[in-house]
Amino acid sequence: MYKPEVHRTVDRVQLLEKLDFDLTITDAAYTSDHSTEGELRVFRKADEQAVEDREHPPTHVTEPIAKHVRDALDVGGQSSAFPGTRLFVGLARETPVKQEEGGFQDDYVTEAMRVDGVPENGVVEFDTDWELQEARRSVAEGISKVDEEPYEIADLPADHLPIIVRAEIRRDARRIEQVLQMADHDDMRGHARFEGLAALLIEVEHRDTTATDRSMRVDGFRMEMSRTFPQAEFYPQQGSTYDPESKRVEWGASRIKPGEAATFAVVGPIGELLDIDRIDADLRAKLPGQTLSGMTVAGVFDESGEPVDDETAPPVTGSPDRIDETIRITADVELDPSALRGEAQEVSNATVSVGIPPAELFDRVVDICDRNGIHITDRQAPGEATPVTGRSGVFEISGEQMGELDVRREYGDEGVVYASMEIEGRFAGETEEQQVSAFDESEDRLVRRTEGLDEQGQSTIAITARSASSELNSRFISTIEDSFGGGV
Amino acid sequence: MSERQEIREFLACDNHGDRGVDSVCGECGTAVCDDCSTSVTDLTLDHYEREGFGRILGAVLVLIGGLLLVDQIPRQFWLALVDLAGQPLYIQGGLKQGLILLGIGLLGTVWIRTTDEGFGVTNRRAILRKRNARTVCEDCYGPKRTQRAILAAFWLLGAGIAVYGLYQSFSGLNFGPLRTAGLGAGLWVLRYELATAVVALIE
Repeated sequence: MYKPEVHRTVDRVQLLEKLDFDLTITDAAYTSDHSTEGELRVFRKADEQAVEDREHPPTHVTEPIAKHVRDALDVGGQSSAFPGTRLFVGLARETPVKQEEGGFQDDYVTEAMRVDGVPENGVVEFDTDWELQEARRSVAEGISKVDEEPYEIADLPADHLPIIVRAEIRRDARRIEQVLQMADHDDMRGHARFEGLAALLIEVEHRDTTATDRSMRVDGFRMEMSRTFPQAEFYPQQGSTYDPESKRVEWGASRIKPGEAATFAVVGPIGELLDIDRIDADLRAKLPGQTLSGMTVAGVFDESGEPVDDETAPPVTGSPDRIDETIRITADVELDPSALRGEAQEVSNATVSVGIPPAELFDRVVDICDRNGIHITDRQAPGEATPVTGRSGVFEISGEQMGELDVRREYGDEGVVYASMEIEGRFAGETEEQQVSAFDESEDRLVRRTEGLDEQGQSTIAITARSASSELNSRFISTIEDSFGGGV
Repeated sequence: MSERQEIREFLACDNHGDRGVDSVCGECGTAVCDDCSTSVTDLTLDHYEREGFGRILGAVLVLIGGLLLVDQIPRQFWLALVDLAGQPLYIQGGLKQGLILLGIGLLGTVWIRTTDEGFGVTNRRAILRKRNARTVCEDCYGPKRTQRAILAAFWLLGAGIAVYGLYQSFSGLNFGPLRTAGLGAGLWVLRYELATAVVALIE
């Protein structure tokens, strides 16, 4: 039975996908981002035999002579696969599918998510050869070496994320009790103890995206505050360590079942909570036995092309599998509690159509913002226009090229509205206009030019406003709409 | 394993798309199914086993047999054989040289590994080189076929010479060509080492 070195030295093959989740809520920004990447990793450890094979490789009895002959002929050494360090890791992928809302039983759509860098169905080759020194050190110090093959996961849809992080401030004692009671059963005072207090809640939800019922393993959650105050209490109390000196709270390991959420809270008087300028929280968690992209390790093969037998692993009960898939999640939350005052929970959408070209509309909106005390936090002017197919002389700005504005409008004590506006539309090109007048201004040409277009353009602003109440949202939307004299 | 089996996917054959492929090409790594792969004994896919001592012992015995025993056998024995055949057999010289050639051939199949223990000759261990089967795809089968052809050539050469020598010896009852048979047997015994050397030269 052929047992090359990889059977002994490779102890683990892991497909690790990393999800970085960022949530920033400050006065200047309300962003929620994620990035994903993957890595195929091979863990290996040299053994005595591996050192031996490199220190004293087998030589043929004629080697002392053969060496001189080879040198004289200037030819390479022997062709041999010994000691057998090549490892093939087979990858397979089941493209994640989703069922359309209201679709029939078999109406599945494959997600557009892509994997770049490794084959979706194929083999990645690793050369697990050792340098003699390296092998010696690995044996002496018991160090594993990790070979990595990184890959990209592109276009992961947001609704496929296994985690959602939310932050909010609650002032209703009953509601606070309701949110926190899951973790704390021992206190019989009920919601009375939260009377007159507020809670800053960071909620981590493990979304039920897969069919498995495996829990998310939270390795730790840490919260660092720019300032703290004596009455501060932290929930869940169990498992938390509070260090007032460094203004830091840490929670230990826990598990979150699919569909459930873990809530971490700072409770105290609202004034004190709002005085904290900045809270940095980070979560480290793992989802074992799953991948975001649907990739799995389908098999591990040695140089003979046959699978590396799983039975060669020491049969220790409960030992980690030699092959595993894991999603590693890190979530960074940056909070300014005063930005949460308004609890930007309500989202309203509106679309305004205006009969002018998109570029002009963009300038008009910027102007409107300036006049109405709307603070622009981020802007991107409309990009290049592309000709509309089948409509000569008509150009379009949409998709990547659309104009975007992120704005903030404060309504005193009532709250803050955060809004993003996307501007896109069509317009008749000037060149066409000139050509028409210079040429023969026959009627059908003119009709074609302006068909479906009012004046020289037709644009829309898509407004997404978020704030504490829909009333504030609609007030903000009205401000924009009214500036255009009631729309079209 | 139970945790993994839930999500386990299977590799699909690159050529036919069959799911559940359980081997890859040992050279290029392409996933292959049974229909588009073959298993060949590959000279370059080697491992070593600690069975060399027996081989050395055998080789030494053959050499001793050739060098000493043939001379030690009483002259009367050979003369008796000649009397029996009624003609000169030249058996002594042929047998001696044949055995020496075979012994050298056997010695040539032994590999040596030095160890940390001892010094001088005592820290050497005799081992044997073994070949293994490798699954290869159609594209990678080409070089393996060359290799097999070289091996077959040495096989035929060694066996051919040996058989020729034996035939010559017995047909003419002139055992001088036993040395040829010994050479052939030595070549045949050494066929793997010789083929490996040639493969190393042409690759």
